Amino acid sequence: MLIKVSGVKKIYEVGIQKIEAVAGIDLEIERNEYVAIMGPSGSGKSTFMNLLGCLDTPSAGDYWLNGKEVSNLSDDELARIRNREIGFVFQTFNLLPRATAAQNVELPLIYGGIPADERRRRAEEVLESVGLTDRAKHRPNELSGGQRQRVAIARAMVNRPSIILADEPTGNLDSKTGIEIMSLFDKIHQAGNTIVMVTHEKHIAEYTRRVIRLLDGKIESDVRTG
Amino acid sequence: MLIFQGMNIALRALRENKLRTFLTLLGNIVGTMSVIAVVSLIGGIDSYVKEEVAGEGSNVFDIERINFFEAITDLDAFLEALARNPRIRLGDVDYLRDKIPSASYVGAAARGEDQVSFRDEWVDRIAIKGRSEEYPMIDDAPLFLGRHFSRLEDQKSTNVAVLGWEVYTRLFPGRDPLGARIKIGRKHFTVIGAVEDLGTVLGESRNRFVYIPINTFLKVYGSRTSIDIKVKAADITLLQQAVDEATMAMRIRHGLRPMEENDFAIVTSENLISLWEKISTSIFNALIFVVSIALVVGGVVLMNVMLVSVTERTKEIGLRKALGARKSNIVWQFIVEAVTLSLIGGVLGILIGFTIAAIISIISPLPYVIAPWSIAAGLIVTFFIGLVFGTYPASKAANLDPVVALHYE
Ligand SMILES: Nc1ncnc2c1ncn2[C@@H]1O[C@H](COP(=O)(O)OP(=O)(O)OP(=O)(O)O)[C@@H](O)[C@H]1O
Ligand SMILES: [Mg+2]
Repeated sequence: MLIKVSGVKKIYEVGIQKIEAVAGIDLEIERNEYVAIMGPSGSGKSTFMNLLGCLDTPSAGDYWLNGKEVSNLSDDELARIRNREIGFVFQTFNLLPRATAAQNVELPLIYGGIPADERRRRAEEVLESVGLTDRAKHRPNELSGGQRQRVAIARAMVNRPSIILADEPTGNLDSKTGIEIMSLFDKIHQAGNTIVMVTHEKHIAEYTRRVIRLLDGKIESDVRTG
Repeated sequence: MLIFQGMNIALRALRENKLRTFLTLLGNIVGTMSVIAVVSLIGGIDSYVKEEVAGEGSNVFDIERINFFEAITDLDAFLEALARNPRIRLGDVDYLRDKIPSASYVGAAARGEDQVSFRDEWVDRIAIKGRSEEYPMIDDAPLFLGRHFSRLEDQKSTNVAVLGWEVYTRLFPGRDPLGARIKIGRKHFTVIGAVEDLGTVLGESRNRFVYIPINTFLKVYGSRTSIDIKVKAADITLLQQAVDEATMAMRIRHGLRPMEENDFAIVTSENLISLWEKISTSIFNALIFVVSIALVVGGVVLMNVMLVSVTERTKEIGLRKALGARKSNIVWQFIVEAVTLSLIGGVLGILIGFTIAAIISIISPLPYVIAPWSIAAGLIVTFFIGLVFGTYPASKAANLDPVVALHYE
């Protein structure tokens, strides 16, 4: 079992009001699954992804990642887990604007303490796998939206994480580019990676093999499609 | 490698916004600049004072009517002396001659300023030094040609002159001056000798003088001027003893009672040095005050700019954390950036400081020396300014919540 979540809650206190953004979720995800998380706005998708990505810790419940309990680790231990186990892909790409594509891809390796020559080699390798070898020296503002997201995906994969988390990765792209990105995710999935992706769009969710629907911070349905 | 990254970010920020960076670093620049400029100049004057004043005439001291330096150190005493002290006369010199056993020479000295001319050539503002015949033993006046004047020439108030190098070379370029009739002011003098080139000190020529006998001096410039008595101790170790003997002799000569203060001044090179040390210490104290303020202001400005930078880059910090940056990584990044910026200010300040010192020493007679410790001090201090004032912004950045930071717009 790659991911095991049980009774996980995330409660925000705003003034005297308590918001249960995640209201008790039990979930298991196997290695090499390809999961879509859907649901209306405010249903807790992003909050849950942040918990899965160890960016945040649950208010209640347990989370095992790779057999390790991670729900109450220190900040630095969480940073280490994010660096080793998790690759993030964001809706807004989140590339460093002044760094080249290759430098952006190398960033997680820097924090992983990987020596410079190996960083360069591995950055080249993943950039090649997303088809951007010839753009390695380009800065984000010299790249199209689709190319930027490819760089971000390369960055997410460079540390060979256990799981790739993508929060609406096609949300800022036109539908044609979105489809290109989805076929790239397909390829990544076929190479043996585990992917969890938040999306609003049905045709995007159709690329995945399992669709989990959230409503008011709870799982409404969990359907395997492939 | 995160150090280089932080330095890169800092240098890029510097390049992209030179004016803002310059203003940010103004405190540091002003601080180090003042240290370097002042220390260089004081160091220069210091080595002059110690070498020239102390080295050359260290066993010579003067008995004068008034110590003019007292105007700086103790104005009341100076004004009182001005009103009270009797003038020193040639008779006092003769009286003192056999009263100071520890002295090898006692001589009379007086000084004026005048034009010196020969036919159509003249030089202005030349020091006219009246001396008794012992002066070659007391002053630094090695002959280049001719001779010094004799006791007889002094006693008879003869109009003879020994020229300084500049006077000699300006009035007699490539010619023999001996026996020539020059004019000092309106009076005719016969040239009997010339002194070697004595070089310059503090940018000032030491060759712009003429020696004439003291009696001639008093005859020409007025016998009522107060003269100085120059005393050369037989040995540097006997200096204090000679000073004591001279003081005692002068007190007896002036009929002072035991309780009364001296009505004359003794000026030794040690006096001069201690006066200089007093002045330079107070300059240093003022400097430390000014520099501390500049640096604290600079540090606070730097801290604010770093805080703005942290806010501007909140999203970047969130991203770095998402990718696995630990708190220490983020702290490092911002501290390195702050220290780099601060050091750039320090380096600029050092360069500007030396430029200022160099310019001042070109347009004024003040010399300057490059004190390595002042460079080191400037760099160390600005390093710590960056470290201290960068810590708060850095820890603020490091403690950002990754989720909040990532979604900051
Ligand atoms: N930091 C926070 N403080 C308080 N409430 C929050 C915070 N973050 C999220 N929430 C609330 O939690 C709920 C779930 O938010 P979340 O961002 O997870 O929704 P979502 O499913 O990702 O929505 P969308 O599809 O619009 O992105 C919302 O009601 C939101 O207002
Ligand atoms: Mg969301």
